[in-house]
Amino acid sequence: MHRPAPRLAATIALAAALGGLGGMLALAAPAGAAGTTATTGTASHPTCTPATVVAAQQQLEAALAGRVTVLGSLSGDVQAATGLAAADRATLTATLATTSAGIGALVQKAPTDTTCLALWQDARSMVQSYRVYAVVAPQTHLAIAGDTADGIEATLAGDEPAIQGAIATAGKNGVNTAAAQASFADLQAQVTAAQGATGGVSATVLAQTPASYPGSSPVFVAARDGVRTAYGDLKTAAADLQAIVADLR
Amino acid sequence: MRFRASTAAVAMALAGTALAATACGSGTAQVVGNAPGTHAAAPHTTMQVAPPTSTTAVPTAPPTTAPTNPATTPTTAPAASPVSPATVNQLNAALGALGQSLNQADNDLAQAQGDQ
Repeated sequence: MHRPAPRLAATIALAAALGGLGGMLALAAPAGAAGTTATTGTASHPTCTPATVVAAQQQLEAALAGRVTVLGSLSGDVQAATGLAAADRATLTATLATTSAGIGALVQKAPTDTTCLALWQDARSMVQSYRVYAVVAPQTHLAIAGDTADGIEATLAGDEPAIQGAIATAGKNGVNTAAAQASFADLQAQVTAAQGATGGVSATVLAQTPASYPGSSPVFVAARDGVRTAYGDLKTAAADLQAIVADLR
Repeated sequence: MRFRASTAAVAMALAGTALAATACGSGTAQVVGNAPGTHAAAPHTTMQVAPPTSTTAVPTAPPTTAPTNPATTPTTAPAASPVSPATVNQLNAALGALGQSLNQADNDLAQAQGDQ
């Protein structure tokens, strides 16, 4: 069966996306309506043929099971994340519920597939419709991280007047507060820097959808880098706070 | 605010002193239902004397503990910690959670490169 060039190109592109399936389904997009046979693009990729449908089916079921496990883990992470803002928690919970329902439907359907075409369509839906690994997982953890960083920043910024007041009181009582004042100035700078690094991160990552891929990938990388920068800033700010407490003791 | 609080504290102490003074003059007598102002004006001539068992009408109880000696109160107390230990613990816990989420995000991004 001859495969038209455009379809072959699309199939090869999907093959890259379906790397986790070893190519068995990735290159199995049948050109014909029957969908029970398919040719390979290269000899290095196995094909889904009537003889290998069962193996391909098992491969798809394993891939689905892996996603089910990840989604369960993500749901647990969302529930356990104390630093997650309520609105973002609701957004993530809804996203995970929708994704889990979709993957769950495929889990039910895959064992009933009897053709390579059906398996290939389910595999494509599993990847392209839900993007569990490429979108949902980083989206979840980065939103948690972003919100947690925001919370720490708010706490430290809220404590700044009290810290400043304590330093001033100590100074009036004859305590040498030079070091504490320097630490406080650094604390303020670190908190401000962290706020700049995480501003809007959660909203940005939560706006990503499976359809955003592959454009979502650099968005997630930038978000991760911003939060990691803020993480360093906040650790430094926490050390400043510890130093201030020690200096005023 | 601080001045008012101190004034109130002094006023309470003074009220207790006045009541004690009115009681001490008559031995077993106690003050009944009089406004503090009347105590100060004429404590022994204008106040009613109640039976010793009647104590329900005393407006405020006199201080039962000796007042602190102002001379012993340190005027240069060490500054209180600007944050509580609980706050520090919460901060450290939040930082730990943040680090964990970042590590998970790192893993997510690494895995996403190999499997969408």
